[in-house]
Parts: sequence; structure tokens; C-alpha cells
Amino acid sequence: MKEYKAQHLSEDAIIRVMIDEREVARDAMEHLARCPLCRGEKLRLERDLEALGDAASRFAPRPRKAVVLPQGTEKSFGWFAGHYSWAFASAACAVVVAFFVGWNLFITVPRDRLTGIEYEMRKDGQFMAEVNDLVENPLPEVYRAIAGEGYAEVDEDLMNFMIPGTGEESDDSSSV
Amino acid sequence: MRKRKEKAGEAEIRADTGPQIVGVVERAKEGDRVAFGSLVSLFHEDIFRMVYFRVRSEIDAEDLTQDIFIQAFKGVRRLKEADRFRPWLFSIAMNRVRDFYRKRRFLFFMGTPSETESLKREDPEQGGDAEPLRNLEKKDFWNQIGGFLKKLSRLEKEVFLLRFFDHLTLKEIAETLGKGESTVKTHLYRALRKFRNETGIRTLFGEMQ
Repeated sequence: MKEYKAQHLSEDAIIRVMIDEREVARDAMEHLARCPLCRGEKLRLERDLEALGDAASRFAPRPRKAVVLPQGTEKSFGWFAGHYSWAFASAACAVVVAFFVGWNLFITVPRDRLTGIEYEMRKDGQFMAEVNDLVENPLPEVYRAIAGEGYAEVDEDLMNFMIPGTGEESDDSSSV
Repeated sequence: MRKRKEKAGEAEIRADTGPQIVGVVERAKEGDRVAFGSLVSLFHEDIFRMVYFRVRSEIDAEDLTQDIFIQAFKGVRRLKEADRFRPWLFSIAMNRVRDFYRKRRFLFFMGTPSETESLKREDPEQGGDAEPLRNLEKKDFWNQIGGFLKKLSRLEKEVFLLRFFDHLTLKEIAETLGKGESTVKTHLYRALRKFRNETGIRTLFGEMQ
């Protein structure tokens, strides 16, 4: 008869077998099936744990009071049923947020609004100044030098020569 | 022996949450109080014991068990899978026990005398002298267990208690704790390695057997 000489399972391997046999190597399971020593070791640990559970149940009292269920069926409050503490905490958070939002709206925002109006008026003024500049000199700065408009000064004599007056203006001025 | 077999059979039915329980849970979900009442009578002792193992006070365990079933009664409609009733109920119990300890820590921190005194209530059984030897044995047992559990991490302790004290399957433990099955196995492995080295506690159970 051939003597069985495979290596015995370590205590860790025995624990692994106890937890889940499927996760233990096939060799180890085959050894366990054939080796009475390893099987005995596993059985001993299992018995200890079983005894532990039994003793715990034995030394625990039995319930004396019967469970009393609330009368009627549960009122449906949707999600809030059974989440009262969360609902309360959410409501408290909402109140705090509403307070800060209100504070910003009614206390700090009017001041901001005034500064905002001033800022808008200043921007409008700047914009209108730019529009007026463009009316006077539509060409950009660079092209003005080329066009010579930058140096063009209105010569009154030349203008009078080019566009002679009717004489009424001088008459009017002399009469005044 | 026969009693033990019956007990084992009952545990199997409970662990599997067989079709008959699924039917009862379905009826309870529809608002059938009688169906929920049968679920209460089926799981009352399990839940009471589960709570007692963690709070070690009979009075507090009674109160918490009552709260757990009321919470379950109110929330059973929201249970999606009827066959997961048992782990769902245990997860409610776990959360309730956690709340209990949180409240106790808070009251201890605040130093409210009336509340802290009420939390230190003694079990009627512990003070009684009806069975002094049994009480001594019981006290010794819980001291040993308490000493061993202190050596485990929070999750190792929970997994160990749920597996060997509450007799839940690995899948049920994973669902109760909201963890993966592999995580549960890892923590159970660590807890068992520590248990294996507890020669004192193993000798005690050897004597008991």
C-alpha cells in the first residue's frame, strides 16, 4: 500500500478552507479529503466556533417583551417617511442659505447697484466721446497722417476765396 | 440531538429566506399587518440576541429591538427584493446599535447625569442570585468574549459576530454591512487567525463541550 506523504495544510490554509472551500487550491482540498490529521484540525476549529455561538445564545437572555407595532398603516409622506432627521437638517440648511441670500439682496446689493449705475453712466459717457471723435475724424490715427488731415488747418482767407460769402453776414455783424 | 437538528433546519430556512418567507414579505410590503406580525415572531429572538451581543444590556436590547421592528414596519414597502429581508433587517439593527453607541458617547461627553445613569442600567438577571453558578459562568463567558473582541478591529468584530453569533451567510453579511464579499472574507480570515491564537478562550469552550 502506498503511503500518503503529501505536506500537511498550514493553519492559515485550514482557515481559508473554513471560510470558502472554492477559493482553496485543488491540491489542498485533495489533501484534506485524504489526511485525517488536517481534517481533524479543521473539525476542531469548527467545533470551537460552533460552541462559541451556542454558548453566546445560551448566555443571552430571551426577549421578555413582545414587539408592539404602531396602530394603522404608515402615513405616506413619500421620501420624508423615515427621514425626519434628514428633512429637519435640510430645512435648517435651507433657512441658513435663505438668510444669507436675503442679506446679500437687501443689505449689500443696493450699494452694489448704485456703484453699478455709476459705472454704466461712466461707460456711456466714454462711448459717446468715442462716437463724437469718430464723427470729427472717422479715419484711424495711422491714416490721418497719410491723409494729411491731422495738419490741415482751416485758413479763413482761403476759405473765403474758395467759397465767397454773400455779404449778408458782414452786414449783419456791422449792423450789430 | 433531535432538537439540535431542528434548530439547524430552522437556521437553514432562515438563512435561505425560502419562498414561504418571500411570500410573507411580499404581503407585508402590501401593508398586511398579520404578515408583518409573522415576520416579527420569526425574527424577534434573532434580532434581540443580535442586539444583546452588542449592547450587553437586556433592557436596552428590548428597547432597541422594539425600535428596529417599528423602523422595519415603516420601511418594508421600500424593500426592493423580498428575498433579501433578513440582511435588510440586520442592517437596520446594525444602524440602530451604532446610533445607540453614538448617543451614549454624546451623553457621556455632555455629562448628562440622568441619561447616563439610565444607560448604565443593570440587567435584572445579572444582579439576581437565583442561579449564582450560572451567573458566574455567564459573567466569565462575556468577560472572555469581551477581551477577545477588543483585539479585533471594528469590521473584523462585526464580521465575526455576524458569522458565528448571528449565523449569517457570507453573502448576507456582505449585504448587511454594505461591503463586498471578498472584503468580508478578508476580515473574517483575520478575525479567525486571532481567534486561533486565543488559547484561553478555546480552552474554555473545550471545557464547555
